[in-house]
Amino acid sequence: MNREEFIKKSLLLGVGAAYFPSIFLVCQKENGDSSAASLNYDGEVLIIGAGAAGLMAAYRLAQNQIRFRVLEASATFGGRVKKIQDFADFPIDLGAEWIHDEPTIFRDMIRNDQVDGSIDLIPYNPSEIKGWRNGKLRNHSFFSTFYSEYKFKSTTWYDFFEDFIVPTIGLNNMTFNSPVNEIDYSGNRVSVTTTNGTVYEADKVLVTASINVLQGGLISFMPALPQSKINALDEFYMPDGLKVFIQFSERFYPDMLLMQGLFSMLSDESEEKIYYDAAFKKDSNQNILGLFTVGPVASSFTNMNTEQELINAILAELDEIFEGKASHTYQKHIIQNWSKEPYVRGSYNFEGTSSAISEMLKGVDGKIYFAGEAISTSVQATVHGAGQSGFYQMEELVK
Amino acid sequence: MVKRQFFLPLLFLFPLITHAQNKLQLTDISASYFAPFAIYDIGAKAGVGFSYWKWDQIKTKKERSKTVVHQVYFEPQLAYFGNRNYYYSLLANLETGWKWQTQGNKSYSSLSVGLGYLNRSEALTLTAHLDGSYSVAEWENRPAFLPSLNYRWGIQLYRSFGLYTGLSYAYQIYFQHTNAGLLFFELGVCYALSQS
Repeated sequence: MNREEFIKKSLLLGVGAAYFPSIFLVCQKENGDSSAASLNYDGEVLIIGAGAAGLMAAYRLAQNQIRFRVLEASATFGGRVKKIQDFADFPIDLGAEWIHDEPTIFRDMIRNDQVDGSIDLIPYNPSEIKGWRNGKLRNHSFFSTFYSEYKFKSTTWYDFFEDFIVPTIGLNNMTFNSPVNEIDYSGNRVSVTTTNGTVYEADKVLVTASINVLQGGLISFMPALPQSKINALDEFYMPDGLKVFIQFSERFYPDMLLMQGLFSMLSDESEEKIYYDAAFKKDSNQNILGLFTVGPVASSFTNMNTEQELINAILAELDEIFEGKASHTYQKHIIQNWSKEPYVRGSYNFEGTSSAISEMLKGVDGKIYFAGEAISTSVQATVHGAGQSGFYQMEELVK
Repeated sequence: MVKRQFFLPLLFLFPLITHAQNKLQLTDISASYFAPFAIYDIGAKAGVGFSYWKWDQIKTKKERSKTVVHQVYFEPQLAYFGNRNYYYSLLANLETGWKWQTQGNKSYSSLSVGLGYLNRSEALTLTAHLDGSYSVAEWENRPAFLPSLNYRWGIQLYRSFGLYTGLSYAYQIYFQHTNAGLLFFELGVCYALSQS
């Protein structure tokens, strides 16, 4: 069961009242059929950001032969979807990893009956779950019954976009290493300036930069955004986020190790810290332990000055839990500190109310639009939620 | 003989036993909704109940006496439960327990212990097709023993037909995987083949 289902069922049991705002958002989920309305627009669109929202927006424009260009700050597409191919004997998602919905989401994202193919997934229901609290390792394996999601078997979220979405967009329609620092929409057309001084012009602009980039003022708007938009933006909270993968010569850890109480994990989604067997059900002979953490509990790691300091702290923590086995069997690691990614600056979003999301979805002067996981009306904080946000925002944009 | 010795101490717990019989008798068949943690997974169970030993006990309270009918029973069961796309489990189980019912009351209770052989088929790979269909492509069988402790409360709605609900705590003891506890919820119907 994924988190969404869990919340629904918890409500049925009367124990999930705290999740009501999430349920409200889930109820607004977009139609999941395989068709999408065709769009007509003669103007040119600039999409800022080649993460899931930007890519899916570009994909829809490409499907409808609408002129567009994607400006991406970093050297590749994906945003918080990122992979490393050669760390282990299977590709590893350094960013978004889990699939928090049914496998039909791939059809719902691709929405093209001409595209044929399949994706192998792992039904992700770790059976050995332990918790570390107050200096004791506790067995939480009963929780396995409540928890089930999906992961990619031998590919990644990045591969999904690379294989099924980007070919339709065309790499030649994306410009990389182009961080945008100014959007001027005072004239008839919108002028977008990058940090290297290049100016792009378009009739309409879709901004898919992360909430922390927008809240941090990395992009200035001319004229300033309306106060209602600024107020809505301030409602979102995008905490620190970190992923670490460590290879060990032996496996000494469970399928999943919760570093907080079960109740606190379920009641406060904005803080999470888990170690997990990254090779769980993968075709792998290696022992790869993943660390996924977001929220204030992640900040103690993300604020460390050096990678060595960080990995030492993690190994020390694991040594305390597993009686020194971590340091003894350590082989190598890779760290993805999302808080220190200059064009991301955090993990994903919490606390955006439905009114804030509605406000963010409104166009500014009919020229500036926003999309992203934070303002998804289907599922916040997910790749497919981000993708659907970009995909559907194009309908608003071309009006 | 072993069973008699096991249940012998029970005799001393009851102040007066008026009638007892030791006879293997097919008593009822039952079918139920049966799932770990009630709604997270789904499943079904069917069982056949046999009474092994029966006795009556007269209880006197405030000058009123009532007869409680006790029986020791065992029940072979077959069950299925699972979570689509993740796993399914087949269970062959044998419960042995003690059931008691006050004469004139429609409700009864029972306590039992069970021992089952569980085969959990775990989905390792699920193939998602881009037309929206998906199916499990690779399974792994995980055998386990499943001892359990069970409580059942039932009510006879008609002469032969009744409803019951139950809770069971079971512990999956796997040969090669991590052991884990399960709490089962059960809601079923029962058809009496002979009057107890």
